[in-house]
Amino acid sequence: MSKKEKQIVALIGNPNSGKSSLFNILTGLRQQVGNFPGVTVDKKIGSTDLGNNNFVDIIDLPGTYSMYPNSSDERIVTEILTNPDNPNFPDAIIYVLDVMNMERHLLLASQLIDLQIPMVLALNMTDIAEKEGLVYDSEYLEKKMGVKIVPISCREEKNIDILKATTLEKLRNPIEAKSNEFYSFSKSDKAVIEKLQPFLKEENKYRVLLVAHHHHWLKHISAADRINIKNITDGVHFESIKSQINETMSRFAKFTPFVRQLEAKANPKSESVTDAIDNVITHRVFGPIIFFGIMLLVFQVIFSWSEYPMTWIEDAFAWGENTVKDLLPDGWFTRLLTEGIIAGLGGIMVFIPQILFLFLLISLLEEVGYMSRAVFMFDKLFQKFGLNGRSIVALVSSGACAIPAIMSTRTISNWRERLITIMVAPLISCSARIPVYTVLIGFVVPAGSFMGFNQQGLAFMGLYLLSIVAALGSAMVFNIILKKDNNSYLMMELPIYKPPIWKNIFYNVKEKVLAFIVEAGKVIFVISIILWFLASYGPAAKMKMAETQATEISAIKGLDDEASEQLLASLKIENSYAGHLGKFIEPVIKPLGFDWKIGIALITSFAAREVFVGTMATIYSIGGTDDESTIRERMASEVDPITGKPIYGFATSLSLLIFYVFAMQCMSTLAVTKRETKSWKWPIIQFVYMSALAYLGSLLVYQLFA
Amino acid sequence: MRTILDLKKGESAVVVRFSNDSLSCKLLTMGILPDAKITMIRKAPFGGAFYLKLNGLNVAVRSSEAATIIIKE
Repeated sequence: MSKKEKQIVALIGNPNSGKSSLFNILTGLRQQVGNFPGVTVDKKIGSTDLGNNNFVDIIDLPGTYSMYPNSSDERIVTEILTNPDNPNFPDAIIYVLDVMNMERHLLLASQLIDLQIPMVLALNMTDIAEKEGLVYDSEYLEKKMGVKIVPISCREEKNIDILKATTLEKLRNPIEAKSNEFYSFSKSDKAVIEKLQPFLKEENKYRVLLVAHHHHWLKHISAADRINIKNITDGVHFESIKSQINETMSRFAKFTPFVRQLEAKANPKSESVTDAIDNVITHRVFGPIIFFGIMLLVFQVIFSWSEYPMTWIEDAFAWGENTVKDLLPDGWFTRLLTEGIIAGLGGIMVFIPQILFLFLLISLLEEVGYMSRAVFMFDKLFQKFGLNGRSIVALVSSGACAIPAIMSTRTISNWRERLITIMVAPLISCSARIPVYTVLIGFVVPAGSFMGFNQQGLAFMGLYLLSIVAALGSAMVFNIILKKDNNSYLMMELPIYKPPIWKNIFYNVKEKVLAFIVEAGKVIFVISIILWFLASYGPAAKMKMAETQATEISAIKGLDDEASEQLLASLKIENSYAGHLGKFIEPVIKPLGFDWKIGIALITSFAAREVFVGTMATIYSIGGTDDESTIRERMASEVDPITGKPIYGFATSLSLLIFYVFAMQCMSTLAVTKRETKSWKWPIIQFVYMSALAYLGSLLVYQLFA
Repeated sequence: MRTILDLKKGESAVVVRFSNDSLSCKLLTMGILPDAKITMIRKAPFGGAFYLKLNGLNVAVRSSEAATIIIKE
């Protein structure tokens, strides 16, 4: 342990125990999100001062009900605690439990006691207990369980200093802090422990038993050891499931009498309020209606709230670009900085308001306890598509950005359902498609109103609906193709409704937005530099020719400075590497109604869709990348040199819209899919099937309407 | 043999045992134990799942899961 710089204190508890609130209080802004080595579970870590400059690292481990985990998130707890050599193995544990659900939350506590890691029990939600008139006997419980208990309230931030001091005490006297064994092993447990203990060279008996249960997936057990352990456990006819049932029941039987409620109301108010709300919110008819109402409201709010901040961000970046241009001498470096880097950064930043508001609202719904109701309501419906009720969180989040959405699928324990959710989530129209829709929708649907609704707004909604239908339809296909398994289950707690703790929402939103900036940002950033290069440079001879041509034409037509510069830019891009690429793919996209200029935009959009608008701006050589109306005007006046008809006619524009609804045009999403599925196979399949869908969809639409 | 599936809305019953070992492990860890009194609150809007209540715990389970919880006659 001495090699560690700082001691580690792990926060462990059941879901809904208020563990994350405690983590936020203890670490505040010093918290960071990293990864546990080899797995994709977020590792939340932050340092805290336990008193007198005794800094320790606090790790927030995923909420779990027992040492027998269900999902990949929960497994990390067992993984770390069964391996004392794990770099994250805690020196002490703060176990957080909800005083209102003391009995159920004691199961995991009693298991941790048997692992004999110094531990403090933090009895959370004492504020609610007080309001409900629940008086508990924590001293009795402390004596019986043999661990130190500190009643706290995260909502009111009460007794946190006592908790810190008690934890520090435990860290200082680790040997004294070791608890007695809680669970008396059954005969068959003893048999397997006896045989396995010499092989594992592990002192702690319960840890040996856990390895016997979990050896087939624990990462710190080598493949060779897995075989040996299996032989040993088989040798004593160890039955994992029977042993688990037996252990759980005996634990409950032992600690249930310890929970003495000195005073309690028969029907707590918080419960009856929850029941009353759920009578309406999970109602067979009103429930789904309310859900769609809330979603409609959420997206309405996102779009109206984001409008101004998005304009500010665009303006700020445009200003930055111009200022840098003015300050620095013209040259390749200045152009790289302004047209490549600053424009690229702006392209990422402009989505922050929408993502921020979406996660603000989703976190709020999660924090008060609504999301689990949505999961309950839609589970059956989603199962028909091979998804899980829990997929709803991911699919709703996809409305902002597929990256955090895919990461949120970790709570789905069934791999097949999780995979299908990951595969179809990027089809849901994300905020990056909005600028593209905005530019193109005007060519398809004229402004005006239809039955009192804004026509273009309705078309917008239509595109969203189309994307939902596509996602569910694709899920259905995956459901048919992928091999079935039977380990899917719902079994989920519906916590009582609580007023939100804003601190939790703040940290949650911050984490999600940062994830977007880092994950999507680094890709978009690099790609925009590459794009800038491809669009600015080309074969030397051709570029030279473009310049001469531009000078000649301007001279003949007598164009002013601005117009001739625009002409030069568009001739340059035509002859650049990007232009060559566009012309190269033109035969393939011709049947969709696209020309080489759209081809360039499609190529650049494969990095990130929102690049479309910027590319269009570059191709049509308009300064300032995000001025949609000018781009639209310029695009509207674009005519086919042969037919003389506008390029962005109804058929081409609709075809292009359909393409953007379906196509997988986001490198960052593919990168996240790769990370979450731990293979190249799934991102490749995702890319291929979405592109095929886009191509065929556009082909159909164009051939129908052209 | 009656299971949770036989409960009507608002009815309660006492759990006797579970008919599926691996599912019972999960139910047990959530605190759904033999001798617990379970109340059927309602069915999910699209069917397939139930909203149950026991001893301070509100829980959602699928029909297939509910079918493994055997209750007193």
